[in-house]
Amino acid sequence: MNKRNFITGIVVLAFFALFYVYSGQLQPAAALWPRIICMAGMVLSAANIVISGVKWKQEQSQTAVFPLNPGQIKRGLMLTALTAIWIFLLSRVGFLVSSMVFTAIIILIFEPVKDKKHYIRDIVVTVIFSVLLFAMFSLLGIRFPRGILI
Amino acid sequence: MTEILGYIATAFSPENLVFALVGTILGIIVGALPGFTPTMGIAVLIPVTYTISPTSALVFLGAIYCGSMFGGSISAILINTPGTSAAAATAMDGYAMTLKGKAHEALVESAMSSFWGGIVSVIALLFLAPPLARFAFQFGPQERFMMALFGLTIIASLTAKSVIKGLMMGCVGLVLACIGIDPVQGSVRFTFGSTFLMGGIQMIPVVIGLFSMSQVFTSLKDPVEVASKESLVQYKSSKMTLKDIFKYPKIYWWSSVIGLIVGIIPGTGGDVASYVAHNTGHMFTKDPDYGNGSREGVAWCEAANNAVTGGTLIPTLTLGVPGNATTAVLLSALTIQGLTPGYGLFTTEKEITYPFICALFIANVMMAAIGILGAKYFARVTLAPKNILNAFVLFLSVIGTYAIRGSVSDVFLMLVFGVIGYLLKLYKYNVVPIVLGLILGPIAEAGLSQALLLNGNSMVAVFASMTTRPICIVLFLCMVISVSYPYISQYQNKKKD
Repeated sequence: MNKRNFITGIVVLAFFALFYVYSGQLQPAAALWPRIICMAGMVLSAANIVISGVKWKQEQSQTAVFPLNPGQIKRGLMLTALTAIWIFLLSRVGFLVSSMVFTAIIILIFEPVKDKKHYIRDIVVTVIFSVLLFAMFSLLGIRFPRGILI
Repeated sequence: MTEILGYIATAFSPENLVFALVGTILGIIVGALPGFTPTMGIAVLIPVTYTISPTSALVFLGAIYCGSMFGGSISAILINTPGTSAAAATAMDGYAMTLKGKAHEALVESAMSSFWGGIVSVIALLFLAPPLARFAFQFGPQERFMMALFGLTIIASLTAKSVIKGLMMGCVGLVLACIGIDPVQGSVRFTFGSTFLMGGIQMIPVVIGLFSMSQVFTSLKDPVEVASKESLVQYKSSKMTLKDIFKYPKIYWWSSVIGLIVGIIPGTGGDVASYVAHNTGHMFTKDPDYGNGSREGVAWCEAANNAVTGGTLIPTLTLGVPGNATTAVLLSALTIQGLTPGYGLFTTEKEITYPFICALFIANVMMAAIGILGAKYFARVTLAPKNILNAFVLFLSVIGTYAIRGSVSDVFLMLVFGVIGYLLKLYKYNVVPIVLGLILGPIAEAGLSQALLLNGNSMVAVFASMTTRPICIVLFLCMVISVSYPYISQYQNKKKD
């Protein structure tokens, strides 16, 4: 854990440093508060790096920096990519159709029992709930993007 | 009197009753689902409130909050898997009762004690919140700045295991709150050339991303397992008289008081309240089974964790300082409705606030009724296929984020924060401080800027003026206690061991 804290501490420190440097381009009054926070953030990140660095050296553990195995990374990336494509197509294809298709894809990909019965159930559930949710939010007055379809 | 009757009538309007009922049922379901927190439930259901009246919106979200606190106990009692962290203590006695064939009794006790806890806390909210809000009305810029800083020190309690990491995340939230137009001079800050960022980072995409989207990633991280129906215990209803239902009036009262006090203290929550109440019960009980299948144990825990609901709402509604993560999300829902926490909620907006508080009574009554009659059916939601459940959480996350401004960019922002939230959780960073930073950052900055203007732009003069203001001094002391308490507590625990 200390190795991970050390690495993430550096990432967060870089985040604050970026904003601190960028605040130099702002007018003094607008830069005051962000600078105070960035300085506080940098001090805290530095403290985290030092503390975890010292502990890491003492424990000498072989913990991997990234806490996910290849299968978990694959599933995470797949979900991120699918969601990104879904969002991209929302206003191009239409909200209901794109949401129904992508919800079904996600459900089917992560379906633990790979048989016809479960696949049919998944598709039926997707269609019913998607239409119901769409109708409910439409009744509440929310306008959804329409593309070439609904 | 006519005014009060008007508030009650508003609370009992068909629209509000429906929202209270639906909110309570959804809250119980969210609470019963292990891994799904009340915070996530509220975040993902906020979109439902965009187009309804502010009163109904608050009633709906308040009912979810109340329902979820009870819902957590259902899976804790029946399958020894607390739906919420607040129900973890309940599992000790509740599940042991189930193993003894007393599942029905445990669930009825949970519903009744939750009901009493909720009612006591709502009464406290009704009577304590207005004077506190009136007091907060006297706050000047310095006090508002200190109040926001005090709110940020909640982070220390929320992240007691790693205060530094929690404070780092708080600072991240504060920095994110700076993106967009500067509130003092109106100059553009940290947009990196993006017109989308000129409007600032919107709260809802961040909240839904950090709490709901990241939860989907976490749930689907590993291959989904098929829920076994055998995990649900055989449930036998036992005959219960009215006397059985109101069995422990003293426990309900004292446990509710404990929960209420714990709830008012920012940074604590239902889990702390349950354990404190359970320990208190241990000191007074004569039940030899206490801690191992005692109905009294369930009563102590459940009354306390439901009393937290009203308690946490007191600082949230009066001072704008969220008592816990769930109220932080509720606070963002409040701002969406154009409501500002403070004295105004009890004066100019009283037509919204008081019916909301009255409706919390109704929600608690509904929760008890639904809990007693339908707990065993709600337990079945734990068998719902994880892939379907998560896909629809994702669906709701997309709808919710899009609906707020009709912006696809907001949905992308939600996805980005979903990934960030997931990674942060993997590295054991608490994401609640980010939301607290986003909420309290603008308040702190506005307070500091105004104080600087009043004191000749001198930081020294601002801090010197704070030393002469009693409220600032009290708030400073509260901050010191809030930050140092986790360390003192850890030290004491180590000493005990």
